[in-house]
Amino acid sequence: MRLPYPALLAALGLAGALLFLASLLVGPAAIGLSDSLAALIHGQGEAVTLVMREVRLPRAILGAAIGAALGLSGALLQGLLRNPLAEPGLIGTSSSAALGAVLAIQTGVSAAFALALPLAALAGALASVAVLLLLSGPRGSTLTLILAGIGISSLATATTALILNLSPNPFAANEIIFWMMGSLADRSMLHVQLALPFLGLGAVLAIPAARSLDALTLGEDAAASMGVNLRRLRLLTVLSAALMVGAATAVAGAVGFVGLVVPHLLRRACDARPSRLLAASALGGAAVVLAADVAVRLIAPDRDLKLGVLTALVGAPFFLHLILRTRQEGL
Amino acid sequence: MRLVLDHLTVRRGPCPVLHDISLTLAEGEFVGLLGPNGAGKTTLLRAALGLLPAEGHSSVAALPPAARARAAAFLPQGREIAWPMPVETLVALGRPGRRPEDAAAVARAIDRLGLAPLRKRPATELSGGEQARVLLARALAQEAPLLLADEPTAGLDPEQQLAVMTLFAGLAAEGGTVLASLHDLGLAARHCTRLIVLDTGRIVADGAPRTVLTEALLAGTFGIRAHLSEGPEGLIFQPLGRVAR
Amino acid sequence: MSGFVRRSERHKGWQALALAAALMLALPAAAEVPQRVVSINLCTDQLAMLLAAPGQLVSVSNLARDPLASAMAGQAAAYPENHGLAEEVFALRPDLVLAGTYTSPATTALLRRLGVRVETFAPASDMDAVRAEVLAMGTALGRDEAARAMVAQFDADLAALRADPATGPRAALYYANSYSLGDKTLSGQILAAAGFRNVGAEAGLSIGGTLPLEVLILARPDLVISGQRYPGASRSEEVLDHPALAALGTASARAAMADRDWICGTPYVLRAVRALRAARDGLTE
Repeated sequence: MRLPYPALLAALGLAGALLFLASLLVGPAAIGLSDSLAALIHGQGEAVTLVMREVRLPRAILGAAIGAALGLSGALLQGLLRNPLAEPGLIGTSSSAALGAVLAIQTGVSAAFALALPLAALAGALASVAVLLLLSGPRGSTLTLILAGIGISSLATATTALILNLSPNPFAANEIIFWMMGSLADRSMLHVQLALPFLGLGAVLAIPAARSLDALTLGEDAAASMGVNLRRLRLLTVLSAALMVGAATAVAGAVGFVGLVVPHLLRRACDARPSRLLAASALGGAAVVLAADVAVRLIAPDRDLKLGVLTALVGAPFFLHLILRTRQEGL
Repeated sequence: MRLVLDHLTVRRGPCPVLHDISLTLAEGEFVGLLGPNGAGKTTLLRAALGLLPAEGHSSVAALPPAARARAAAFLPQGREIAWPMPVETLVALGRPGRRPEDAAAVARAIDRLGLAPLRKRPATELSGGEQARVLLARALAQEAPLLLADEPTAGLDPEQQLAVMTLFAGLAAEGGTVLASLHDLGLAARHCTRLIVLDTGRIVADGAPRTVLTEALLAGTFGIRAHLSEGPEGLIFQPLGRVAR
Repeated sequence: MSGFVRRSERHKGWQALALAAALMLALPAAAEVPQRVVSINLCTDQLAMLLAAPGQLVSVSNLARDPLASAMAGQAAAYPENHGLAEEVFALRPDLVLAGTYTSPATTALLRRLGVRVETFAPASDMDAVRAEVLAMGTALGRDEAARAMVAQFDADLAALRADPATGPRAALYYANSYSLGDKTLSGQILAAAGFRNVGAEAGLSIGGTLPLEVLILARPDLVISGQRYPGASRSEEVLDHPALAALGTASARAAMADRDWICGTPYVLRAVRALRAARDGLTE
């Protein structure tokens, strides 16, 4: 039995909405259901309102938006490179974005000019995708894609570690784990304001690319003969993915595997059409990251367990499974 | 005229790989593009479609991208199918519109290639021959007056090869135009209305099959000896052996 | 911010006392009294500088010169610095090396194998431990007299500063990464000595751990005490600038305290207690 596409989107959206609510209601401070909602909506109870509106709401919004961005950019990059292993974390986009963000913070540019943080992360993400395309060619063969990804992310992670270790701030040196694993703990509305415009712009740029990605299923020549402007498509996809991965990483660190697992799970339900997979992966990504962020708070309420730890625990086995399958298919 | 190429030249680095090609394809023609490996067949097809930069003029390449898709359909050699799309969805890629006539065109293409029973199957799970038919159906769904096909019979069993050639001949008989690069001179001689032979990037012969496939051309361009005779169902081509070029 | 505590005047008394102690030449040149002492730990650096006879202390660690971490950065500048590496320490030909119990065991083991006497000092977790540290350092340096005098002075000063925490205002120690401290820590004891109830302890922390921002907000502390900001930037410290924490400021005062007076169990913890007392008085006025 298979869900029709609109029903699939509705189901994913509903799951996302419920998890958004769960994200608002779960936290180390035990606040009753009605109290939380009353505080959130009507502002009843000063301290509780502060918690709901300034601590939990931004966290839930960022969880949904970043999850959507990661799912969507995974689906986009896979469509462009025609490879199910193309994922922002695996191909080094996230770690390069993190490098950009760390540079902006450590040089003090982001303190003087807040937008410098997402912009620097965007630049890092763009540079990594450009290098990847140079290394692996227009259709990323699995081998070159993964090898180039290992190279790019090792370099970016090492440089990030170097910068943090050289920082005069004693806390900075211990932050490499955050940039590698990601967390939504203690994010504020300031981060929402910073990230959302970039995430939104990235998502909007993905829309005109959708149909062209369908045609690209048959290869570049076939797509071009069907009227696809390949240069425009590449530009749109790369810019869109870089905007989303950059902004997401700038505020939440590198959360891996969402862009791998979500499109993989939803592909069949979308008739393997990249255009349909985009919207579905965005909704699915939001649900997955919200769920993971609820889970980290339930598993270790007082530990700040990193979000990426959970997504990697679930995602890495998927990755290995996909490698096995692509090997069997001789890709 | 369905396709006009005028002094088309493609260079890779300084040396031309396609040299000053001029030709005209009219409606109702099924043209076989022949030549040994590396003669420039694929380059000619891609240049004619505007898929690679070329000097000179191609009437299709000169069109804006959307109009190009209406003027010509292209079946590339690679037979790439990146995702496990159901057959019907994949064929519909050739006709992405949502009007009733788009759906009708997709249905016609599926019927024409006998894909109805495979309609819901993921294309990546089909056999090579079935995949070739699916991809051909995709190109046919475009219902463009001109079809360019790069080695459409490669890798197919004899029955499927014949089916493809018959289909192309049928398209031409209905008033369509087909330009297909082919390696099988026998199939080309039997089914095509016209043959164009390329050698090292130049047209060395162009005309009706019996006038093109001369002993001298077969020896000079392909390095073979062959016997050519008129059979009840058309020209019969019988290779006999290699010759020193 | 009204509740902001100004750093108290540098307290000169202890230096004067140390100097006086150093000038007492009553000690016999016993064989066990070390003549070349090297300290490789921030806290032993400070205790040794307070108690050592002139010329007895040969080198202190580079951390002792860091004005953010060390209460005696100025004095430390007078000593050659070391980086706690066995090789450079051994090259100083010490007859006693002072280290922390958390100093790399590889370093202390290597020094001991090379025949150097190494004394380790545990981090102090309450006021009694401060007394014990001072006395232990006195013994290690052969300066028991000076150490006893210093403890007496410490006790007198502490008694003068002490306030009852039972009825006092509620304060939260809140650092980078939402880290907070409970009662069984030196910082918690400093807080108690100054007459504050500890919100971290109320939230269930006995040593140290994460105090989630939302728990802090709901606890509504009268005072939120944070460490001094370090140069450069870090994501870990961003939580200290969280808008929700700023919004809390209408009800809760904020105070930034110099870490250097809180880190080590030396008599300088009294500076922290004194600063907190001033803050408490400001709150209860």
